[in-house]
Amino acid sequence: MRLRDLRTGEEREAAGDVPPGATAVRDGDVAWVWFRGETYRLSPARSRRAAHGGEGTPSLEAPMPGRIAAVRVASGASVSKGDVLVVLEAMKMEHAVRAPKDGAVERVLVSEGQMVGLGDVLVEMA
Amino acid sequence: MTKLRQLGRVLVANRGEIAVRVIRACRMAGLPAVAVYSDVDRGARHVALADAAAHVGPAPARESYLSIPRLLAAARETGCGSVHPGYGFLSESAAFARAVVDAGMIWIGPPPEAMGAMGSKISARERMKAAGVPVVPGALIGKFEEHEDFSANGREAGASAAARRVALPRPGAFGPFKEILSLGLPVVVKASAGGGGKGMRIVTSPSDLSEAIASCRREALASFGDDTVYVEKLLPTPRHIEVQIFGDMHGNVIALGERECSLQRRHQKVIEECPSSAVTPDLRARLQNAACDAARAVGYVNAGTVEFLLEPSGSFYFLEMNTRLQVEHPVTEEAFGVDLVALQLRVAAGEPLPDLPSAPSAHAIEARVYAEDPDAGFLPQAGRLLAWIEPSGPGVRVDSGVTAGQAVDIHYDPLLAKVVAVGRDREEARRRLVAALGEMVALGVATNLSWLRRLLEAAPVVRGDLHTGLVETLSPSAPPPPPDEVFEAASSVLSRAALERGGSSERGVFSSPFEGRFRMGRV
Repeated sequence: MRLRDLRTGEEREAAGDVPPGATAVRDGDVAWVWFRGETYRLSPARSRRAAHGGEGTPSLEAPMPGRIAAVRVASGASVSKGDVLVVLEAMKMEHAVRAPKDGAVERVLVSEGQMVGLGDVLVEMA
Repeated sequence: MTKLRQLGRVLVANRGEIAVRVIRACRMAGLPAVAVYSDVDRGARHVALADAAAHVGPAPARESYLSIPRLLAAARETGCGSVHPGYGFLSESAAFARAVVDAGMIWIGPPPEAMGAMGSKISARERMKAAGVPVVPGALIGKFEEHEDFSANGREAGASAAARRVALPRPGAFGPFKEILSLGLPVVVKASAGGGGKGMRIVTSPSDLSEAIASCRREALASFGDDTVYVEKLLPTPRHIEVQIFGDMHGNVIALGERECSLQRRHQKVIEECPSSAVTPDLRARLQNAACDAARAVGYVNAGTVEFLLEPSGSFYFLEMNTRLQVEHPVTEEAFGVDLVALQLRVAAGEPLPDLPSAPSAHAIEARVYAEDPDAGFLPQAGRLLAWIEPSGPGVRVDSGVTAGQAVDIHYDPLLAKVVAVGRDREEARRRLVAALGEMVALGVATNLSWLRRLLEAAPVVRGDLHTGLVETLSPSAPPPPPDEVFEAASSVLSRAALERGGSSERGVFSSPFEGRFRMGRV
C-alpha cells in the first residue's frame, strides 16, 4: 500500500503489522499513529484528501470547522492580496481568510451565520 | 467542626477539566456535586463523575452554560445550596453571582460588588490608577454607557448586547482614534469584559485598527456577551506575572506568590509556572503588596488573581484582576502544597483562612494541551478522540476533562487537559514535564503535544529567559519525519479495514469503524 504522511507529504510503499511500541487507529481514510512520543497522520497516497498545508495552493477553503462570522466581499469584487474575504469563528476564536493574491472574486459560496466543515470552499477567485 | 455543610449540594456551573476539578474538590470535602451539561456533553467526563447531573440546553453556550435562568433552574431542581462557576463562562458575571445569592444559595466566589468593580477591565484600570498602582498607558474607544452597567447588562442578556452592536468606526471619524494613535503603535485591542486573551488583537499599522476593533468586538460578544473594547500600548518585551490572592469574610487578604505566564500563543497562555525565575524575594514582596492592596480596595473575598506586566527594568504595571479561579491555579497548588478549590469552599462557607505557606517549597510548570494544529496557525481542531492515554509518574499531575471516544466540539474552548510537573527546582520540573508530554497519547484530533515539548526544550525557555512575545520569535525544530515503523503501523490499520470489508472496494473501503463519525457543520 502506498501511503502519504499528511504533514511532510512524504510517500512510501508500506506493509506489515503495527510494530512494537506503536499505537495506531483509523478514522475513515486517515491512520493516526503514535510512536516514540510523536503523533503522525497518514493516508493512502491516492486519497482525494489533500496533504495538510501542502502544494502551496491558495486556500480559500475553511481551514477549520466553524461558523461564518462575516463575509467581507461580494461576487465580482476586486481584491488585493491580504484583504480579508471571510471571517470564520470556532471555539470562540476568529480566523480571517485573506486573499492569497490580487484578483477578482468569482463566487462567494457562504453567507454569514452558516456552519462550514473543514475544507469546504468559501470563496472562488478568478 | 466545620461550616462546610452549609454549602449543601454544589452546582458546578461549567464543563470540561475545570468542572472535573471542582467536582473532585467537592467529593474530597464530603459535599455532593451536581454537574450541568448541554446536548453534546451528555457523555462527558464531568457528568460521569458528579453525584447528579442536570441538562441545561443545546450545544451553543449562550443557550446552555451561559444561560443564567437555565442554570438557576437546574440548581433549584436538584436542590443545590451553592454554586461554583469554575473559570470562563459565567465565572466573572456579577449578574449571575447576584442571581445565585438572590435565589438563596451561596456563591462560591467573590462578592458580586467586587466582581462588578473588577469585571470591567476599564473601570478596574481607573480604580488602580486612583489607588496609585501603575497601569499601562491606554485609551477608550467610542462612546459607551456607564461601563459597569454596560458590562453587567451585557452579560445578562447577550441578545440585547447584540442589538447594541455599533457600526464599524472609520479611522479619523472621531476623537479616540487620534488618542489611540498618539499612544504610538503597536497597540493592543482588548475586550473590557475579557479574559484568557479572547478577542485580543495587536495593531501595528493604522489601517488595521478598524478591522481589529470590529473583530475584537465580535469575539468579545461571542465569548462574554459584551462588546466593549479598549486599547493599550503594547510593551516591547514584558513578562506576564500574576499574583494569586485569597480573601476571607473576616477581613484577611493574603497572597500565595506569583505565577509566570509569559509563554503565550494567540495571546493565550500555554505554559505557566510558579515561582517565576525573574522574581526576587524583594520584587515578590512588592508585587504581593500591590495585589493585596488591589483586593482590599474592592472588599475582595475568595480566590482572585491580579495580573501585571513586568518590564526588564523591574517596573511592573497592573494589567487586570481576574475575579475567579485561574486555569493555571494548579502550579500554585503544587509549588505551595495547597488545595485552592478546597479553600474556596471553606471560605465561601464562612471559615477563616488557615495558616498558609508564605513562600513556595517547590517549582511547578504547567502545559496546556489544546485541540489545535500548530502547523496551521494553532487553529482549533474538532473531532473524536480515538485514543487517549494520560501520563503519570513522580511529580506529574494531569487535570483533564476528556476520555477516549469523546467528541471534541467546536462550540467550546479547545483545552483538553493540563499537564503539571513539580520538582525541587525549575529544571527538575521542566524535565518531568517534557517526559510526561512525551508519554501522552492523543489520537483522532490534532493537538499541540509535540509543539509543547519542543517549546520546553528551546534554549530561552530552558534558561527561563521569557517574555510574552517569545513564542513568536522562536522557530522550534520541526517534528521528525515519520520512521518506517509509522508507515507500517498505518498500512496495518488501513489494510485491515479493507480486509474487513471483504474486498468490496467500490465504496467505503476506508470508512470509519465509529458509527456517525463526528463531522462539523452537521451538528
